Amino acid sequence: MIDVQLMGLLNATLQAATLLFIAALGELITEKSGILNLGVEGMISVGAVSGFITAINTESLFLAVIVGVLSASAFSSIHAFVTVVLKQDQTVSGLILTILGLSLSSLIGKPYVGKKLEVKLESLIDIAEPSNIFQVLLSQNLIFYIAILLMIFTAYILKKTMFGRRIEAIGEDLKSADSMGLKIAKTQFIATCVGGAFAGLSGVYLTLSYVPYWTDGMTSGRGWIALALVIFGGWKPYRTAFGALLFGFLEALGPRLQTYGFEMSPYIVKITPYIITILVLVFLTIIKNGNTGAPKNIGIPFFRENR
Amino acid sequence: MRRSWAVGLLIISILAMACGGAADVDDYKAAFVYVGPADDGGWSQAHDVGRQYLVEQTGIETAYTELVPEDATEFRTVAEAYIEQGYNIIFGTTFGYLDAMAEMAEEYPDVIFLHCSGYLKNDTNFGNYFGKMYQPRYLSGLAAGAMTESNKIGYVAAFPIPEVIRGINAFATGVKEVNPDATVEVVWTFTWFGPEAETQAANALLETGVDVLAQHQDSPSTGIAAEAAGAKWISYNTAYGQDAAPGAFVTAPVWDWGPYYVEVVESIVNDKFVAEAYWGGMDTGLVSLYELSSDVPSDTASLISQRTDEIIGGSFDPPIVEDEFIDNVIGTVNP
Repeated sequence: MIDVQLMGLLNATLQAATLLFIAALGELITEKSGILNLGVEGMISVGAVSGFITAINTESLFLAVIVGVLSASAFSSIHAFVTVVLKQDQTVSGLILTILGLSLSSLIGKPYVGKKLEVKLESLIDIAEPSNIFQVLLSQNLIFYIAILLMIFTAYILKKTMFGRRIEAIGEDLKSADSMGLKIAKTQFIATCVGGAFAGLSGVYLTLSYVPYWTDGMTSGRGWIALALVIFGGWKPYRTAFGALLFGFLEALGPRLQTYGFEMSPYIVKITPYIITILVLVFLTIIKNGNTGAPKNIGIPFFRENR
Repeated sequence: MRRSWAVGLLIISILAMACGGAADVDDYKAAFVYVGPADDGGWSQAHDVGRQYLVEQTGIETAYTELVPEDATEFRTVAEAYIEQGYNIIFGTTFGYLDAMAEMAEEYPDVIFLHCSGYLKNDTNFGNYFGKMYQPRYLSGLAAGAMTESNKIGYVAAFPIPEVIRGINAFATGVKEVNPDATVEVVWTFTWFGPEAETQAANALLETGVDVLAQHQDSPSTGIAAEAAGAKWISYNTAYGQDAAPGAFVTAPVWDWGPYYVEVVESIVNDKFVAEAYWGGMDTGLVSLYELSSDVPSDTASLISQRTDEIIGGSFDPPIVEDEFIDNVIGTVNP
């Protein structure tokens, strides 16, 4: 029985981590280009509801994933337009995106509350009772493996390709990037929409597999944990993945602690990710003289006239 | 002498007018305030079904606002808007509206405030109402005890407050009656409505080997998790949740607010309203056990119907224990 519980904990950790990680990775790309998008919660919700609706109506998972990703990406272009083109405040626009996204998904999801999903993302290899960690890893669904590929690709693109270096240059030093002739607006716009697409994939993972159901408030704060995760990960894909596993583990552990016979307030488990994030920030500030890894231009709109 | 006769006649005729006519439902408008979506498949939907029944039966004009957070300011904003539009009966359907309703009842003596699941009232225009949900929960425990093969039953519970603890103990009393070897393990989620937290809690219980899950939660996530694991599920609030997990659904202790809403509104219209703490049991129809699924053994089904009659007839009532768990429950009331 202990084995089943341990494997269950591992499985739940991976599921919670996948959801957080994909959204955080998208936000990482957006923030690398100097755009802060606090709308993650709203974007996940839009991806989740549009994927769910598509799955119910077409019974095609492929279409559901595509629609979820594209609609969240299109939705994030609102933020891109407001902050990159209109050069408005990123914090305000991001918060509005969260509120708008949650309300919009409640509105369009209303007829689908409580509907049973006939098709859902199943494990690629069906292992009835996984008995070791490899079997747990092998019994995940497709999006889990896509997340691993995205992590490797993102790390590679940011570090090794010209496109990645450009994003980073814009995020670090707008004026130099501009003098070098980089297309700032275009790059930031793309980075924001890619972030939205990732959040959409995370949302689709939520409603097509993790909690295959739709109702208001499905995302229940995951977007905010994803934002904390970017900071925890120091804007580095691999460290973010590690953080996702840690936060996912805490989330999976919460209810299970009670079945192990430990009595710990779930409130404490819920706030732990944020406490850890603050501790990491403080720690990095002391050890690395304030270099937390944050892009230097984050949140600052670019006006060429101000050079 | 003649003059006092005249006064007496006047008083009698006024009384006659007051008693005889003027009892008209068109003089009243009732507003409902819900904490969740009106079609949540759970708690708020049960109230909205009751509201629709009220309209059908009495023809009173009603309105509702959904998704009003359990926060004094939010409730007040909504309720005041209704009062301005002439609504004079306000139903607040979640515990968290308590303080706001108590204050507003003092400020608006001409408006009647009725609070579901609260414990405050006054002598004139503020009452509370709730149901003896522990009665059908006990009956659902009989079904759960008979259906478990692993002798392990899980219970996904919201908050460690008397209402929930009382329900768990009543459920476990039913389990014990038909299956003394079975245990009921409790996991608290600290949320009334949190699909993800409920899923995690349900899976945590399923991993310990439970094969029947019950819930004090407002979403059917527990049922979806149970169905995926091939376990059975006892829902709550309404039977609407069964659509989300038809393979796991056994039964559900359910609310039927309609008859109470009709009764209280008619008492107001006929000027017989008394501000009280109403606690309706199965005899009033306010709470009941939903129809059993076909896989409940027939001897259990007949035991349930026998106990149902006893509870309604008043010869039996499950014990009310709300400060600790009875001995076949695993968990703690002070997490």
